[in-house]
Amino acid sequence: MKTIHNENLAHLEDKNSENKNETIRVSLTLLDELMIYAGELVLARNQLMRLTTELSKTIPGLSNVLQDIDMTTSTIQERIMNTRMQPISLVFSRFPRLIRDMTMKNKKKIHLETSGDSVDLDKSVVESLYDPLAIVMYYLVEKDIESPEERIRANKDETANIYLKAYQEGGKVNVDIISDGAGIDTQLLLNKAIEEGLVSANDAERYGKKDIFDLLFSHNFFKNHMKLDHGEEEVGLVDARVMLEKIGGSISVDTGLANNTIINVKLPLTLVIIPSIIITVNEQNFAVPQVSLQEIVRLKVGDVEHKIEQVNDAPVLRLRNKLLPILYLHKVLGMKKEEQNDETVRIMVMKHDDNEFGLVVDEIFDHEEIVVKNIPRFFKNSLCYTGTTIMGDGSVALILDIGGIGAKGKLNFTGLKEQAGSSDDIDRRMHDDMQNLLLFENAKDQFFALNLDLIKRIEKIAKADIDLVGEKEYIEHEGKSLHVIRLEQYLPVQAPDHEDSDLYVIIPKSVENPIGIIVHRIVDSISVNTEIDSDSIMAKGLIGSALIKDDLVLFPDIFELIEMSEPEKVQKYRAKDKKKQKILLIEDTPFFRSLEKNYLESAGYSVDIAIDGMDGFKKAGQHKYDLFIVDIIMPRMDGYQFVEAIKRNPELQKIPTLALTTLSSEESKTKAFNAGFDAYEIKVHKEKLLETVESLLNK
Amino acid sequence: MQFTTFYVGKTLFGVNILQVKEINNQMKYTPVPDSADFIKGLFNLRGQIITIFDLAKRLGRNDTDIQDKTRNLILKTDVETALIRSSNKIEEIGHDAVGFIIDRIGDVIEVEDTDIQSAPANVGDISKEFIKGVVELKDDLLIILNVQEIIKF
Repeated sequence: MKTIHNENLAHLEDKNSENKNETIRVSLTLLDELMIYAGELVLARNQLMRLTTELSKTIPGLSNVLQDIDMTTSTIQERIMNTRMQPISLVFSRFPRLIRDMTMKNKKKIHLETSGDSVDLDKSVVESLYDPLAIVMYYLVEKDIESPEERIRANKDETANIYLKAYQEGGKVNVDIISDGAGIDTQLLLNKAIEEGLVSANDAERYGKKDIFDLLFSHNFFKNHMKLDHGEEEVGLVDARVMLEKIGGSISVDTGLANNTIINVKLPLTLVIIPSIIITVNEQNFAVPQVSLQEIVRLKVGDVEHKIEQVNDAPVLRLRNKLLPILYLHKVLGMKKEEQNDETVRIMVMKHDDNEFGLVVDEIFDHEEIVVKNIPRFFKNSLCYTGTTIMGDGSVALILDIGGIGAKGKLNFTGLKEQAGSSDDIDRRMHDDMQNLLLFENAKDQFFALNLDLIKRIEKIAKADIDLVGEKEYIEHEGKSLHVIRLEQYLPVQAPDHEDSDLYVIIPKSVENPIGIIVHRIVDSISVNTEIDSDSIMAKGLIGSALIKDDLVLFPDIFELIEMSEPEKVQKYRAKDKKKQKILLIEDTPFFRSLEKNYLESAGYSVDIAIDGMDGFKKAGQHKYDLFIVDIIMPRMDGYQFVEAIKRNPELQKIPTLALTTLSSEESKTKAFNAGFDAYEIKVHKEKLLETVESLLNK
Repeated sequence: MQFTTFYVGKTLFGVNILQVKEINNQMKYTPVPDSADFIKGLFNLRGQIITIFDLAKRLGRNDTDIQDKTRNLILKTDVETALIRSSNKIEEIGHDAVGFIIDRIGDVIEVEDTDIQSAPANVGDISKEFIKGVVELKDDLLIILNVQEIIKF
């Protein structure tokens, strides 16, 4: 066996030396499948090894065969993984141009050098890497690197150096971004954090260098308008960190010295095999992706009482100086709790999209590398799982979706979040009558617009990337297959008469079952103040139309499109027999007014609108309403004044009021409750809005 | 056509034999919390994750009581039936592998197409939508399951 095997290899080598660099095209789906089977093979090998340990003592030769299988399996898995690997140079090669563009504007002189260009990463990681690295570049070029004059004054070469260095270390790929700029002034940074109330002066004394550096990635001190793969955006280092965490990576500052700033990015090699922690509840195993885990807290029985407190009827953990909302995994999953003799409470501190919470579980085992398999479609309605995996003993375990668990546990994070971003909100709010729209074209000269607030990202795809499965089309997005639709399938509009090889996919945000919308051409992103006319052009899936720069523009309703394209997934709020409860919606921004009205009506409510607090108060006296939904900042009479007026009126004070706003800070929330609101929701989250409306009306 | 037949309680059901992947007695499932109550759980069949439905529960009866003769009836996915599906009238059931818990396995029965009658209404406690057809046997009634409908919810 061995010899034949080796002869084959030798033969292969001979052949290869004749035809150097010979390649063939292989479909990505096939590679993905191979990858999955390689994962199976590894699992089967592990099981085989365990079952045969005893036998190999009695059967001569068995252990040699097993060793062969063991080695070959590992090699196969590694080689197949290699087929999906792409060199990091695909990302690196784009930076010279970025630097050139930036230095043309700010007149700085920068020399860029890269090394480790041939370091390979999984395709999906490579694809998501440009944006976060570009943000770091923006930061260094704008903030860290001095102007040529300053550099000469500091006795430096007027041309600055940025050095991008990729290397592999311990199963991870590292990218160091090194610059010889001014460095990071830790004292200045700390003072700024104290000034903005992020750190108290007392705590600041205990802050080490690393803690201060971490502030850079937890608060956007530096924000800029940047051209990224997923559109032009106002972003900062926080966003870079979030993007990296999404692909299982991390970012930190190694040193912030003058002439030697080193920012270190760590990336996983692949996403198909992920490091995770195995935990149990009621003796059932679950896998928790390790990227979400911050730390593990064990409370002894005596500690529980004074470490876990109740705030607004919800348990929170006092951890150092933070209050952390707590979820019991068995409760979130709807499991009955079995009696436990063990009195220690084990809490995993989880972090997802900047929200931290504690998850209480029974037992926490070791870290394990698991092979991720899909979750069958029968469980898609539960938000709790991202996949399944097979454990060493052959049993199936579910992989928990930390974001989904948080949502399921009804954690309203806006409550406990720091006040980060409140000044930004007010800033944005001042321009709120202006709407930021993305204009795009499907058939030629047929224009559509979507509010940028509703868009998560825009992806450029090749026509060949679209897979047809049954009658539905899919693309690969963030390692998963994403259902994509075309507007002409659901709206009474024309299909494009020809198809370019490059298309765009718009991916909306704040939806539970994401879909992508294929569009032909992105025209522009504009800021306009228009009223949407929802009467003259009416169709399911449309909010309405508007004239923008003399062109007729249609506004698709993303949520309705999702409902139309995947009716099986959306039954929750549809066509429930509502007793036609009447809602007064008070909102000054035309866009949100049409959108919210549309949502509420689609859920079966009858909706009247008022354009500001004054108008609302007048209408409140004229008709009988079951609920008021109120924007906060409005001309003439704002939301606070409105609700105070309502609560003073003996006839109206019993009617529930819901504040619906873009302000997400704790401060504005407290203010809203103090003013008398019964509930508080952030705009454009449809599911959450309808859920709250329903609970207010059923009170 | 040949049908694999099996009992759930006292009712005799059948599915197209070409749709059946295997029948086994692996009764260790991983339950999935926060899912439909008629889903018994998951198990690993040579690397494939199978979702097991408690057929009795799905049909509106009590949970299956696991006994000596209880078995899993595992069906082929669309990928596995791709080549034989259209010529043999096999249903599409999607890409996720599924199986049913049944109380007892029956015989393989050969049925002529013309002997299959459509169910005009519910048959006993089995609602019409789950029935693809009925066949009158000598001393029993064979209900041909509408698999698509069973796993749709």
